[in-house]
Amino acid sequence: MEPVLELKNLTKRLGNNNAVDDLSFTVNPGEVFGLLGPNGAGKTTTIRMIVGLISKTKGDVLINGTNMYEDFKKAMSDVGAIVENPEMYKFLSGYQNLLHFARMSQTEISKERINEVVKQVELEESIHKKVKTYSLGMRQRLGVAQAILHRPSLLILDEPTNGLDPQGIRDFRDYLRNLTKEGIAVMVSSHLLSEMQQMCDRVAIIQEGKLINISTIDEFSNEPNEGTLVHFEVDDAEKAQNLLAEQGSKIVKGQLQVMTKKENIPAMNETLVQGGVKIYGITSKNQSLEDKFLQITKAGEK
Amino acid sequence: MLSLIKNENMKIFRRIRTWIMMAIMLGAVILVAAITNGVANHEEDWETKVENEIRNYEDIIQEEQKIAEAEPRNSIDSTRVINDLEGEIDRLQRYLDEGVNPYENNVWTFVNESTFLISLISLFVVIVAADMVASEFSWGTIKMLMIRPFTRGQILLSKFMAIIIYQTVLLALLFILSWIIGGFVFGFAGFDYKTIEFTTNGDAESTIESLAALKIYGLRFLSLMVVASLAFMISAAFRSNTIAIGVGVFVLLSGNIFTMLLSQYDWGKFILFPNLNLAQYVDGTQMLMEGLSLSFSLIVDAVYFVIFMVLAWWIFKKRDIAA
Repeated sequence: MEPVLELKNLTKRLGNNNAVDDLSFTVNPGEVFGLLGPNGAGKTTTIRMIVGLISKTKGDVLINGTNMYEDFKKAMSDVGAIVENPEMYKFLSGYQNLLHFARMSQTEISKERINEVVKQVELEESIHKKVKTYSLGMRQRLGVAQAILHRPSLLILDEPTNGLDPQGIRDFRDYLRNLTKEGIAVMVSSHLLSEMQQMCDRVAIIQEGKLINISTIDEFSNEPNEGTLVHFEVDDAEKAQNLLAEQGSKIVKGQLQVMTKKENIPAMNETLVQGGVKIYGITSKNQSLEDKFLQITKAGEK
Repeated sequence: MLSLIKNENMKIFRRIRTWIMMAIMLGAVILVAAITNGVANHEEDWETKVENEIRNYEDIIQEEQKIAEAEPRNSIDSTRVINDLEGEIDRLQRYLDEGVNPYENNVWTFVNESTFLISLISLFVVIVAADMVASEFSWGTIKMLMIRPFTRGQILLSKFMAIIIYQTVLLALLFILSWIIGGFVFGFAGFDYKTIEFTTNGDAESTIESLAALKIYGLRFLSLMVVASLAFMISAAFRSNTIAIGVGVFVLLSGNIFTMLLSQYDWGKFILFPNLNLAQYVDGTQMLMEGLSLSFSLIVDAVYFVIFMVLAWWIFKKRDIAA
């Protein structure tokens, strides 16, 4: 299956820093792909490069196999996007805004198609009112309408849930699900993990422009492969470390710390007891992706 | 491409600002008609009036001659006054000889007279052109516009085409308004209505007024295009439409001051502003700078136009659209 979107070593240098640093990933048809990272991690910069709003320093963007930098028109005719807030012409009506963007499609968009999309985003009643009278939620939906009007195979939504209430987010998620059933690939960005967990099939975590991790949403909730961080509260930490040296134990704040799988804990315990180390307590903590992400977010907020 | 121009037209003509501009034009034409009608000569027979004026001038010349004889030190001033008045008498005599009423007001004299309102159009065109690209940045809609399957050059070209359409609409509107209002206030006249025009070196020519008006409109159309390209380039360089409009209007209004300041230099004739007033070559107004001709000005304008458009395109093409 050919990926709808492929990033190859995409890099954007701003000043002395790489705002986006050697980013590579693919997005497949029918999936909702999340770009997760704290504010300032480079999510919006990445999206702006994908849609050609800003220039790249290095790397390539392929949309349905077409290099965006070689054939911008062909690549973009298959893309619908909202970058940051869905800014519309406020002095025009919602319908005129849609007409405006429909005229910019490579394929002819009929009046029926516009009406169909209006119905889909539930804006029938206010579509002929001026956009300046719209609420944020309505603008968000009008933004989605303009993005899907030309039936793109890739939909890019930057922080789509900004300003939506929990019910709105749920509706939005269901809506994205329906779209992906038609084979559309959706890429969303967010700094909120909880939202990503609700919406996405796969999530890429980025920090300071670098890709930290890509995993499916199931892997997020389950125990991670690399294991659990286990603390042994012991009387003689050095002795204990020697006994468990093979397992890669470390002394942290006078305590023994080992990264291992849960099923190995009893055996380790036994080794320590037989070696004459007194154990006062064993605690284990799942180092899940969620923890990782929270650490990153905390570091980003500092 | 056609659909892009349609879009830009929609964005111009769906704004209240555009209709206010047109309403101001209507108001201005009515005002000019009212003032012209107020000062118009209604009762007197024109030939008597011209004869009276000539007699009046002759009296003044005699007085000046007396003054010059009494006080030879001031004779230079007097000589100049006498020369001016003699020229004026010659001019009026020509009207009498040709049987043309210099005070005639009809639809064509009014159409010609109201061509000075084209300066109002340049102001409006500068506002719209300076706003054209910068406003998309101000509104944030540029992000929506640039992620479509069109190159930046195409987007830019469609915007400039829309400006040209807008200036054409305004010029046509002024022509039609001044024709209708002038016709009703001063009476309609045929396309072949003739009058005498005097060139700057004093030669008299018989001219067809409707053709003279069309010439002025045509030349102003060209200079408007150059002004629009300048404002458009400014627009492509700024993120804020307010600043872009401010800079554009400032450049437009300060043009004549620059011309006067730079007219003493040889290279002054190569700057844009003295060459923008193309109508000066046909309507006989005083030129601000010497050594210019219509063809010279047209070439200078064309060069500036190309420079402005290429710069606008270059600025716009390489620009990162962030925040």
